[in-house]
Amino acid sequence: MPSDLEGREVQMLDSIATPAIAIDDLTRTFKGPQGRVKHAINGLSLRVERGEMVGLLGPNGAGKTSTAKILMTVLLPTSGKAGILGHDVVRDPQTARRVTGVILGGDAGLYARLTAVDNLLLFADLYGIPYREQKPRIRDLLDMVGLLGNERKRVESFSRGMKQRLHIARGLLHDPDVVILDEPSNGIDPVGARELRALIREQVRDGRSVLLTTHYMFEADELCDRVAVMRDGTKIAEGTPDSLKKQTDGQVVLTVTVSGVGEDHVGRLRALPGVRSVGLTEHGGSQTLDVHSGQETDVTAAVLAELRGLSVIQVSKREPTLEDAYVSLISQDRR
Amino acid sequence: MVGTLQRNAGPSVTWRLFFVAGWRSYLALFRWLRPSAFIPTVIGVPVVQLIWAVHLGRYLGAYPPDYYVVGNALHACAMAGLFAPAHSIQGERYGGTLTALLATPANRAVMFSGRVLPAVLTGAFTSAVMLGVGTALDWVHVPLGSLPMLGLTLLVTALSCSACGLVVGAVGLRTREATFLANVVLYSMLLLCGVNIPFAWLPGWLAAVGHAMPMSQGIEAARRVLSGAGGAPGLLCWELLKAAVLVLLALYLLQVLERGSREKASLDDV
Repeated sequence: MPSDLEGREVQMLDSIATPAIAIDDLTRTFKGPQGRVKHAINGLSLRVERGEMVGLLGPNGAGKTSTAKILMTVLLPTSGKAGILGHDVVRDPQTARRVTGVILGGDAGLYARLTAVDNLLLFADLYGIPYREQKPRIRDLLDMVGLLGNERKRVESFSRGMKQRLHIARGLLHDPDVVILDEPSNGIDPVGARELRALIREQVRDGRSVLLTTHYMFEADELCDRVAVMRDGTKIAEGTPDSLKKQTDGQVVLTVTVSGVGEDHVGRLRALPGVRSVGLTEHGGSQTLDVHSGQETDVTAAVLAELRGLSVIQVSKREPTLEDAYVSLISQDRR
Repeated sequence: MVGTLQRNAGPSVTWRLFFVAGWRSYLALFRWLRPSAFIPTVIGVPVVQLIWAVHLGRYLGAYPPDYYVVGNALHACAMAGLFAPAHSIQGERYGGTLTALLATPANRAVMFSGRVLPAVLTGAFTSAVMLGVGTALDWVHVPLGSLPMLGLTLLVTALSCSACGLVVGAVGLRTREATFLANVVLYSMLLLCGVNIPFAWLPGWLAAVGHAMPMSQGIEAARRVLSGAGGAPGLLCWELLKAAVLVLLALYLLQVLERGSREKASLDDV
């Protein structure tokens, strides 16, 4: 029979071994128009170890936010399990909420007519932080996110970047072990986004575990220890940013700036011999096509032939970036 | 050290969640209600309603003006009492804060009940202003000695209306139609709770519905307090009982419908 001390050691080792976030075979379906069932998440399994930052990447509708909402305990899964530090988000949501910080992106989630400090005081009471600890904690957080001096201004007068920094302060109010960041840099200017990434990086340094949902590959590359890529509710790749980049080894990207490209053109380009994937980005009046192919095949002539009749503005070739690796993953199977 | 702050929670935390967070949430949702909007909405409309009802009552010659003043003054507390808690969840939904709110570990019963208190005070204040208007126009006489009991009657009636508002607010967790529902309840009260139409004039089943609705015993109690007739404490006990039942129903609905909205992913619907 183990002694008391041994028992406590086993318990401690168990708690260290418990991942910060454990998602097993998670599925969430929604009923669409005409009763059609849509899988927002389809059999997702993922681990975030303690002190680790994991990025959940994918295009809009990939299932990232649904996954984040299940972990925030505001959405129930259809099947599967999700736990935060061993606390099941369905069976024990209260404990999961206590150890989780939720940082939302966008304008939602803050009371626009309250001042920054009143927003934080309200959430301090909602998180049950004792009164004596509230003010020093809020002051520290406002200082950390650079809002000291603006704390008495109403949130409705804040810029998008200031609101996002206030979101971070609110998410960290109760000093959570695990933080879920749902697309935090959406709509923020590049300088603000850089400051935000520095703030997020500090959180991991403080020993927190972070799940970051984003569709910005460079953000995940800069911040995350590991990334998982989702498409149509399914995880299609997982690994370190470097291992994902390696998937594009031996590839070359033909970039064509053009106007008038439609889905039919993209479909035809994907079918060309030697083409591995095609990405299309809209820029107001023009579009950019990124055509991925192997280094051994030059697809330039064939691509330009398919675009005959359209206004081609610029053609160039380059080495693939991490974003290309992501685009390549997302575009696979759509060829 | 990470993750320790809220684990020190005790009774003072619950107290703050009820009183302080309740008041701050009220400010967060209703700070747009500046005097320029508050006076016409919460005071102006009931004053017009009160004057209209008194004049109609005089024309019909059914009851003296004080009957209509008391009925409409008490009905005025429903505007704040009913709509503020009803809007408290709908407002969170429209403001995009409902997800952040429900991701907190705050006890839902304490958190949402705390939002009722400012509504009760605003509702009772509105009714008191209406009685003041009736007194100024010489349509009703409020004896000084009746003030404590009258004040209690206004508070109990406002509590009953606010508890009903909390039920409507709970329904707002699942649907977007809480404001519409609050309007239906408000006008049903006007018709069925003895505000302007005595119970004796209603068909039996409608009178029974009216008696079961919030405010009906409160109005009768206020009329008895002002006329010096007895029986007001008993009526107020009934009104309190209705308020308690409505609060319990609201807390049950909050629990069930929060789970339902997590299942149906309807928390972000606007």
